[in-house]
Formats: sequence, structure tokens, C-alpha cells
Amino acid sequence: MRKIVVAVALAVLIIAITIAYSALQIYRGGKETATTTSTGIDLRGVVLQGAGSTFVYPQLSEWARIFQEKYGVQINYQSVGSGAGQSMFFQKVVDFGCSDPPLSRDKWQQYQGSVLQVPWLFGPVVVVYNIPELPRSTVLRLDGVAIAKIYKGEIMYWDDDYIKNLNPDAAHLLPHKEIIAVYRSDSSGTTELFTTFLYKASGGVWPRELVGKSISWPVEAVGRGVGGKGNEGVTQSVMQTPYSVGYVEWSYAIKNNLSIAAIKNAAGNFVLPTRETLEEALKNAKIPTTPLDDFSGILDSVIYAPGEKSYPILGPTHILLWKKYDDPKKAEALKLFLKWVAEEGYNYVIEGYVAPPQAVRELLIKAASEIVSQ
Amino acid sequence: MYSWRKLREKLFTCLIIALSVLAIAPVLHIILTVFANGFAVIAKAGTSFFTDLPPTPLSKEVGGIAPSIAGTLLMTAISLPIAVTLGLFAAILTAEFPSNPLSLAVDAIAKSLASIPTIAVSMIVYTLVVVPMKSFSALAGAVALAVIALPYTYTYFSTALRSVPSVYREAAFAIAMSRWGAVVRVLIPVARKALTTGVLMTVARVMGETAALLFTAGRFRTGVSFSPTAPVDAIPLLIFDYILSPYTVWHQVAWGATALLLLAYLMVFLATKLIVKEVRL
Amino acid sequence: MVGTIVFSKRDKLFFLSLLPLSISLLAVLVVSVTTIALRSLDAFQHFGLALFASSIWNPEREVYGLLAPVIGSLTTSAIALLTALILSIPLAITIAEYLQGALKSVVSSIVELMGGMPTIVYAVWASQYLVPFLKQFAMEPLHSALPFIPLFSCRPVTGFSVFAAGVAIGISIVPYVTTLILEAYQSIPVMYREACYGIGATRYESIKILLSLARPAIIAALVLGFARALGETTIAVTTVGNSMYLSSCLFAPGYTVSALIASQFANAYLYQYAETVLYSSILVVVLIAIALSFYGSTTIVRWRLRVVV
Repeated sequence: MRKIVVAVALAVLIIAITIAYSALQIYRGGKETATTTSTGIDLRGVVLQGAGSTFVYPQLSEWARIFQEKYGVQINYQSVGSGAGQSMFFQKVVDFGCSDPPLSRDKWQQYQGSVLQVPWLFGPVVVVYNIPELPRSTVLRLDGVAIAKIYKGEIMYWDDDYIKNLNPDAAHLLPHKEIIAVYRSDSSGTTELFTTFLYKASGGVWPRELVGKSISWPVEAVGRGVGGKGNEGVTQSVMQTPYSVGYVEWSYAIKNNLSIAAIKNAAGNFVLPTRETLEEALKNAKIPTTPLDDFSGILDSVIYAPGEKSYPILGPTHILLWKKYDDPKKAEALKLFLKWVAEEGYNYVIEGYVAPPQAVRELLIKAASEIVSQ
Repeated sequence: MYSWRKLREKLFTCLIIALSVLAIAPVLHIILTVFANGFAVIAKAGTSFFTDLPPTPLSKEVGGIAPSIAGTLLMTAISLPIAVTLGLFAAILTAEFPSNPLSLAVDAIAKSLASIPTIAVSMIVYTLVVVPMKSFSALAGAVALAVIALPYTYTYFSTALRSVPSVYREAAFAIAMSRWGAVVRVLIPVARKALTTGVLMTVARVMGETAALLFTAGRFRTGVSFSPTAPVDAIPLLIFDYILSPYTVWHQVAWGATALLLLAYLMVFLATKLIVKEVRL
Repeated sequence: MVGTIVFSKRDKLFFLSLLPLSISLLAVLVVSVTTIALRSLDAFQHFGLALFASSIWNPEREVYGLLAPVIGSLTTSAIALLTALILSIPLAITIAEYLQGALKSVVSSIVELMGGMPTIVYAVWASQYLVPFLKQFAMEPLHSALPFIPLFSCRPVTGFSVFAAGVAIGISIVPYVTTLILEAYQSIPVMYREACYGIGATRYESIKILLSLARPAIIAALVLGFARALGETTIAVTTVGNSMYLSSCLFAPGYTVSALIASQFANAYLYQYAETVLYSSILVVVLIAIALSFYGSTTIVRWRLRVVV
């Protein structure tokens, strides 16, 4: 008897859940009846698939929600990493890709004329530290040479003379403890930005060979290095290990309340990452004029940029699109999305990201006009 | 006088109990952590946790995980029958023909399937299923899950079937039952508790698998979909994405989802244990 | 002496009816291994076996050495197996022998519940709670007490290490190993237990005897556990320290093959040889697992031929 009761209850539950979910079939959106574009196609219910950089995922999900409520177009994104995103994009498993690094020159040449790129968001890399003796009000100042030497293992203690010279006010607080340098153990664009900065700003201390998404860190061989997986791994290591230093995306430092160091920029000033310092750095970025162009030189112009108040370590993330899509609805939806981002999306930038300069908004509009479906 | 045997007995008991406590302490700690963090979230969200879409990073409410629940249910429903059937047949083969070299091969291979890194399974299924279909899908996710689940169903089922004392098989043959008859009407019912435990453990494994779905399922979070050829989300995938982000509201959703998953297991386990009775040999 | 068994037509039909679905199991493995092998051909052609002679990961310069991850995988799995062995057998015995009624159901349900924990949640818990705990209570004491043994010779800086990963993975496979052993133990016919107590054995002695009857299940569980430990990804990534530095010390950060793939696969497409090198590391690990699994299976078969329950 008991058996039958339990079995029936279980069956009823399963059927109820299935029916409920089938009935829900929820997608919100299409509040404005004017979801048709100039070509008269109704876009409600179109689903766009994207994949790639983990950096852009939070911002994209915010944009996707607002866009879905307005136009009924669903944008689904998978943060699998820039490389996997590029691979999925080229295999046409997703409609658009997001990649922190732009297409390499070879890849761009291979697909020249059929792929569009736009660096639609920028984000800084911040240096975080965990020194219990320093109060929150004191900000540690570091420059490229100091950080390079720390990650090479040449500067061993926090009270090293070089660091003391950079921080005359806090010199007496710096303890005689070993510096634990935390780096990214996985392949990451953040590492590429950080090492490019070290190479440019350390005047020869950090060699060209050690620039890239995944390198062998000299400090690891000395035994004072720790590899963290992902931004969250580095964040956690820095939080858990006293006397450590690391580099993470800005949003992780903000959300976890980590102490951020002020970095010396090309003009010689120590700056913290803020909206102003980041926008200043972007003013001098060399951005190509059309989305069909080669973007592989953009990193060089954005890191360690000139400017009194520029923050020296930041980088772009790109959206990759085909010029031609077989499905006209998808093409129209993408064009609408790009235009919307250029006109309204940048009002909804969340913490940790920086809206790009005006030139990029024009690029987005240009990209929207380039996409065709025939 | 205290005999050496009695002393050994007492020492043994203490050692065993101590090690068991050590074994179960981390399990308890993590389950309590999950429930402590997760229940607060579910209580705050109420029933909308089951029907809403996941929140954006900056939103104030927790939203819900409806797409993930639907996806997990769908993929479990597709992959479980496949894994159970294949595992059962393989287990019957190795139980009935133990010294056959084919049985040996199947036995060894079924277990070594578990050694493929789960992320590699997802990469392989991506190449074989997702790329030709030009889309992520619940089907691809279910295939990956079935591959992951196979070693478990096989090992549990084969252990269960082999534990049946041979007297029962001999008795069945003695009354002129066919071989299939002996398997279906004697072997499986006698071993049914162990078989059910095997199925339950596999369900738990399948519903909690993360890495195998990374490149196969599609992370479809903007709506609820029951179609096997369209992208879907899964609860462990959601947890994976959200718990590694820096946003508090997403962390809350992740904990709530984990607590929900564990609750679901509890219900299924208890229900099944009530239905399937133990067989005393 | 048992003569050769002659199979009747019925037996052969039975065998044939079981074949198709069982062969599909083989097919799954063959397809998987073939895909992996095909994908790793490039790496073997270009680098040859020198790929496993060193320990570097430098995709920018296309220099790779897989020694550390492969050895790391084997070491962590061995430690995981040891941990699971030490923890599961007592747990299974306790549930079977020393607990009754409601408590027994509750404890066995908790153990089964753990088996369903999403590995990422467990990985986060392990990196936040287990690793510092191990560092303070296991690694540092061992290091200060026995520094002359090369296994314990390095100072644990953060606790993330091959040892931590091994213990973490070991705890995660405890539910599966325990349930398997428990089910096998409870399926032993009551008459054996009655016989033991009938000749005056203490509980300890009868447990010893019953355990030996459950030995094939224990071996099967261990083989499965080892294979699972080799394939465990998310837990390894968050606890092993992710360092290519190869050392004999268990407390230094290391790498496993699955952690390497999880860390590096996302961007491997951007380089020429990174992807095939990763596939070749998977191939090595899977081949080793197949070899060990065959060994385990033959042991079980040999046991079966000698002891009939």
C-alpha cells in the first residue's frame, strides 16, 4: 500500500513539473509593438547565440536583459573563453563571438572581408595586495620596474629599498616579510595585458619572451609564486595569503573589497583606476576606422598610453561578426543590437567596465550597416 | 584476565568509529554549508525561484533558475535510460560469462571510461555532435552525460549481480528456467536493492556533473526550452558560471541552486528507498 | 577438476542477445580514444616523445613539456585512492555493522547525498576550507617533524599542492566507493555471518572474514575510484596549485592533466600546437588507466575462479 502511494505521488509530481514548465515557456519581451525594423521583419522570439570571453559576460547579460525586454530578441551567451569563442564562431556553432584579443594578423588575413570586429568594451587590470600592516587609507604605490622585479623574484621582501623609495609616507609600515606573487595559472587575456604593461613600463627588466597569455613565471621557480585559476582564483589566493600581491580584473577587486595599488603611468604619476583615468588612457588609442580592418595592433596603443592621468593597464574586448548571415531574421536582430548598444547601451555600463570613445560607437554603427543577409 | 583478542576487538571498534567520523565530517560540513547558504536564498525568493529567469549581475532580486531546472530534467531524462540500459546489459554479460575474454575486456573498459577527464568528454562530444549539428543542444549534453555515467552504472550493476549467491541461479536452472528467465525473474529481483542504489547514485552523478556540459549544452538562460535539439542550461553549469563571478546576487543564486539540487536528491532517494525493499539473503 | 564448459544452443543465443548493447560500451571507448588519438597525432609527429621529458608550458613560443601534469595526475590519484580506502572501508563497516534503524538510513542517505554534490561547489568548498585546514593540521606538522623525507621536504606556502588535491579528490570519491562496498557487504548471505559467530569469532574477526568475501567489490570500487580520480577536473583545478614545476615534494604546487586542460583549453585555439599537445596528454592518461583497469579486472576474475559465493 505504502509503495503504491509513494510511487503515485512521485509520478504525479513529475507530470506536474513537466506540464508547468511547458506551459510557462517564458521569454519576456516585446512590450513595444514596434519590434519590426525598417525592412518589416518581426523580430520577436529570435534567439542569438554568442560565445567567448568571460570578461564581457556580466555586461552582456545586463545588456541582453534590457534588450530582451525592449525588443523581445533573446541573446544567449556562453563564457567559454576567448579562444574557444573564436573557435566556435568560426565553426558557425554560434552567431557571434566575443574575444578579448583581436584576431591575429594571420587569422584576419585568412577571413579578410567576411569578418567584422569592434572593440566594444574596455576594462582595466588592477594590481591588488594584501599587507595586514597597511591601513586601508594608505594606498601602496608601485611602478613597472618594481612589479617586474617582484614577479621575477628579484625583490623578495616588502620592505625592499626600492619599494620604500616609491612610498616615502608608508615606508616605516612596510614589514620585513616575503612577497608572495600570485599569477594566473590558466591562459588569460588578463595576463597578456599585465605582461605587456610590464614589458613596456619596466625599461628592459621584463623581457619580450615573457609576454603572453600563458607564460612560465620566474617567481614560480623560486618558490614564492602561486598560480590561481581564473580571476576568482587569484582573488581568493590574495585574500587568503597575507603579504601577497596579484593582478585581477577591476570588478573582482571592487566586489571583494581588495586593496588596489596605484601604478606609475608613462607621464610619471601614480594613478588608481577610475572612470576618468581610464577614459584618459583611451583618448589616444589607435582604433581602425572600419570594422573590416585589422585590429591586431590595438593592444600596443592602449597600454602604458601617454597622458597625465591615464591608467596604464587596460585592454579591449571585441565582438566578432560575420558580414553575411544566411538567416535574415538573425542578421536584422544583430544589426538592431549593435545600433542599440551604440545609442543606448553605453548608458548601462556596470562596474568594472569602461565605455569606449566615440570612435567605437561609430564603428558599431558601421558594422551594423555592413551586415547583410543575401 | 584481559585477553589479547578482546583488546584487539575494542581497539578495532575505536579505530573504525574514529575513521568513520573523520570520513563523514567533511561531508557533513559541506552539506551544512550549502544548506545554510542556500535555504536563506530560496526562502527569500519563494516559488519564483522555480519559475523565473536568472538575474543580471546588478539586480536586487534573486530571480530564479527555471531554465536550468528544465534543462537538467531533460538531459537526465535522456541520458539515464541510455546509461542504465547499456550498463545493465554489460553487467549481465559479465555476471553470466565471467571467464569469457570479452567479459574481461568489457569490465576493464567500462571502468577505464571514467578516467577520461570530464572536460575531455565534453570536447569529444563537441567535435562529434555539436559541430555537425551546428548548434549546442540538450542531446549533445545528454550524450556526454551518458558517457560519464556508464562506468558507474556498469560497476554498480555488476557488483550487485555478482553478489547474488550462485545457489539462486542454480535453483532457477534446476527448475528449467531459460537463461533470460533466470536473469529477469531471479537475479534482478534478488539484487534489486543494490541495483536501485546504483541507479540513484548515477542519477546523483549525472545531475551534478559540470565539466561535461561545458561545451555541449549551450547555457540557454533566456527562456525555458524542452526541445532536445536546442541549447539548454543545467543547474551545475549555472552554479559553475555564477560562483566564479564576483557578483553577490549571482553567488546567492548559485548557493540556492545547490541547495535545491541536494533537496531534490533527498526526495528522490527517500521515495525510492520506501518503494524498494531490501532482500535479506 | 572442472572440465571445459560446453555451451548449448540456448546459451549461445543468450550470449548473442547480450552482445550488441555490451559491444556498444566498447564502441563508446573506441570512438573516444580514436578521436583523442587522431587529435593528438600532430603533437606526436612534431614533438615526438620529447613531449614527456620536460615540464614547460609556453604556448607563445610553442614549447611544451608534459612531465609534471602526467606525474601529477598519477600521484594525486594514488593519494586519492589511499584516502578513499582509509575512509570508505571503515565507513561502510560502521554503517553495516554498528548502526541500526533510523540512524543507519540517515547516515547512508548523507553519504549518498554527497555523491550528488556538484563538483564545482565541492571544489569551492575544498579550496576555501579544506586546503587551509590541511595546511595547518597535516602539512605543516609533517614538514616540521619529518623534513628529511623528500616527500615532505618543502615548506607549504599556501597549501595548494598535489597532496591537497589528492585528499580533496579522495574525499569526493568516498560516497561512490562506500556505497559500492556497502551494497556488496550487505549482499553477503547471512549464513556466513552466522557461521563466524557460531565458531566464536569476535566482531573484528568476523568482519575480517566478511570483508574478504567482499573483496572483488572492493577492488572494483578502487579501480573505479582511481579512474574517476584521474578524470576529475574541477576539484583538481582549484586545489592542485596549477604549477608546472616538478618536484618530489608532495606539498609543492603541481599539476594534473585534467587541470591543465581546464586551464589552458579555452585559449588553445589561438596557438598552433597547444590543442594537440593537450589531447596527447589525455591519451597518455587514458591508456594508463586502461592498463590498470585490465589488471584490476583480471584480479577479480582470478578471485572468482577460486572462491565461489
